Amino acid sequence: MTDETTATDETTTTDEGAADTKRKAMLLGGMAAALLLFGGLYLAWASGRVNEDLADRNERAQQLVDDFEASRGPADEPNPTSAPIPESGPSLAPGEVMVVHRVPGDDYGRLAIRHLDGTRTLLDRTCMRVHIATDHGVCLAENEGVVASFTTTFFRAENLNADIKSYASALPSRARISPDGTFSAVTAFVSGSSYVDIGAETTTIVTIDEIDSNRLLRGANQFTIDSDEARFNNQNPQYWGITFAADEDEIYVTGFFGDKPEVMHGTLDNMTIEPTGWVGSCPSLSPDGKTLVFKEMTADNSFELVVVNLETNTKHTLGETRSVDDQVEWLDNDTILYALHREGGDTVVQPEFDIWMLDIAEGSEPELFLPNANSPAVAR
Amino acid sequence: MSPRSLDRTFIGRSTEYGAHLGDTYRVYPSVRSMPPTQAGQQSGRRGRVLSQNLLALGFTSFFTDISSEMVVAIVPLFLTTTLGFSFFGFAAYEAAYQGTNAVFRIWGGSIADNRQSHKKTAATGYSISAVTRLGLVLSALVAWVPAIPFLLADRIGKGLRTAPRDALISLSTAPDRLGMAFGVHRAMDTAGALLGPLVAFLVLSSAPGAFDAVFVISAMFAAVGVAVIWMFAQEKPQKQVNQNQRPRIIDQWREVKDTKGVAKIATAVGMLSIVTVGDAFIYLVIQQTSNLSARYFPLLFVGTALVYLVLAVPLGRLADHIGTRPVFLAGNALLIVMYLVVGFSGLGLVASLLCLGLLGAYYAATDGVIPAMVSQLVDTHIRASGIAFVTVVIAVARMLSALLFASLFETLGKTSAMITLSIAMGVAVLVSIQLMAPRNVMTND
Repeated sequence: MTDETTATDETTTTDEGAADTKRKAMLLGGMAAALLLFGGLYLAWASGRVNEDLADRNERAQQLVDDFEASRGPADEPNPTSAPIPESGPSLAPGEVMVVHRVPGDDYGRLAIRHLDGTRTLLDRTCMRVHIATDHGVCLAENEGVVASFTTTFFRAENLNADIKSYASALPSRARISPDGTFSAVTAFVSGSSYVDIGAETTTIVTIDEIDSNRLLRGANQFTIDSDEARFNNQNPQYWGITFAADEDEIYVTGFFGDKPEVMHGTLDNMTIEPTGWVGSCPSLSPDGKTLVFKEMTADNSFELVVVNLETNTKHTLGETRSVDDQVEWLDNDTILYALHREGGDTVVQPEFDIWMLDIAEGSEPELFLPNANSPAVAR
Repeated sequence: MSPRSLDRTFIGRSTEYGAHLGDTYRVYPSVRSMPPTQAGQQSGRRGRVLSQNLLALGFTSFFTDISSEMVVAIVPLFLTTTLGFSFFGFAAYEAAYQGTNAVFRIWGGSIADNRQSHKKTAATGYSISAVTRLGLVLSALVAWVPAIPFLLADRIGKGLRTAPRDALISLSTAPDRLGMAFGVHRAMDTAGALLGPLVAFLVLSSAPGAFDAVFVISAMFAAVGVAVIWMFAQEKPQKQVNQNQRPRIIDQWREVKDTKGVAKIATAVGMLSIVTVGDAFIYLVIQQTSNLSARYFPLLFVGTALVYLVLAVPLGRLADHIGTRPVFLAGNALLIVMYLVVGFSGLGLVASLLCLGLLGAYYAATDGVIPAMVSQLVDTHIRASGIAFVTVVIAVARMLSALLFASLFETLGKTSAMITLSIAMGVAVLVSIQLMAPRNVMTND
């Protein structure tokens, strides 16, 4: 066979091939267009479905909030959620509580003040989690954008527009301001998003910050452990959920060294921590420093709240039967507040939470403190 | 006829159209088996790179990667959070998952070689993955339908298609343009991987929480990818050693292993992979060392992928000019620099970016270059098996590496662990230079 015939053969093949390719390309184009149309229609339907669902949930939640307020205060008061936003910020009276508003819809995630009568005023700042003490507040917020990113911002509780400083953060989880407003402690998930599998997929970072200075952040893993026990040789301990005492030095923090999370006690000045012997996590110290509440993990991976009287060193389980995955806040020296995810509610899109109130005395039962809100922070 | 079209005709005879045109033409299974004069011509003029098959496979990978990365982006920590896997449970699952992937990779390579059906095998793999998306739609809409079997079936499809696809790329490309061809394919693949999460985000921002919509759109992209490979890719059947008696996998592997240079290349690649730290781990170290970079954590992957995307084609071309082995070895040498940066610096923004750049360059210099390197050695009738063999060696080595490094890091701490690793990598590169020396591997390159 000569080169000439080869060339002819190839030309024929190429011509046929070209026609064939063109036909196939048109077929593919048609198919892609049909798929694009179907995908677009499905997306439009899904988007409509989601919006409808959200509108439904908004209506139901708003009704719940209205009913709650009506059951507590005079019925003829104007709807406080539609009240104008204060210009500079709220002045919180002692006993008023700053919360994150959890009514699905446009206002979801905004800060709000729960007044003594159970009504609320919405504020002009959006946070995933908030805490305040004195004039200092910390807001953990998610940024808008393609990749998930988060910002920790310190602000003046009396003037929401006055930021003190802010920095980038990982997925935020717990926030506390020390009683005098000197320090803040923020826990974020470096990886994972659940305390159930801490040490495996979930790793956390705690940063302690002096709010009014520019001193470097201190991570809880920079603390020295004042103990010879073997488990503290773990090279990769996890810390989360700090609570501050009134002296601005003493702290309690959760530490995980490979087995079970335990409550550690420490001091900021010496940067040391030591084991307390209590197995549990997310401690919260009462304002008078006499009582500590934390959560214990049960056999079925849920959390129950326990209380320790630090003076008598006695412990009992609190009267909350549902699993509480929160660091509790103290309303006063005998009462705690915590948020619970609404049972059976949506867990993905604008999940709803309620704040519950519980007396720490044995045999007390929880009472609804505020529907459709979480992250309570009490003004003192 | 211009010199270029002459060149094409020549390439056509050797690899592209050989079997179509019948036995009249002498079919040269690889560069190595060509008469010296023709092989000499080969290095003088270069064949075309963008064959229809390469474009078809590139677009298939592009669309399929959009599809699968959409899913990956929205199923984070699915196993640990939803199924409550423990750490060791998760490790066991990982091992089983890798094992399944390896088995199907070997099987896919073997079938493709035996039946000379690289396209069909790869397309079947892509089709399986596309069908699993419909299963995921179902699991998102119906509460009692679990997602796990579909996620696993997707991996089976992936295992099945990888080796035949790479073999088909090599069979559709002139031997001296393999580096660039794989570079083009990997660049298209990576572009899809970058777009996937973006598409998922766009879908979720217009319909928050509607995972079914993400899976539906993902299925659409997968369907386009599948259509492209079935319609546009063509089989490149090569001469078969035994038409009637199909060799068993073990025989194919023996033949692969006995091919001159393959054992040495596999040893070198395996050894280098053991001292290669996975990118996920590097991201974690960067993230943990510097609080500053916490916000950039999701962007670390994007940064590395962008560098890979940009460098894949140029480094592939470089491999065609100076040889695949020098580029591959230089890519591994880049890791030594990266280890030292990770070990000694506080990993501020500049150092972190440098690490991402080095990591991306490493992938560009190795990921597509390895199948190109293998293709230059392994005869066409066992090409897919050869590629499967080397990639499975890499997978096993990476598993060992993960275990090894976890314990190294725990006992030595960051700096010492990274120094140890960089020394180990240095030794491994030096040994590999010896192992891969031309006299040990091939006679002409």
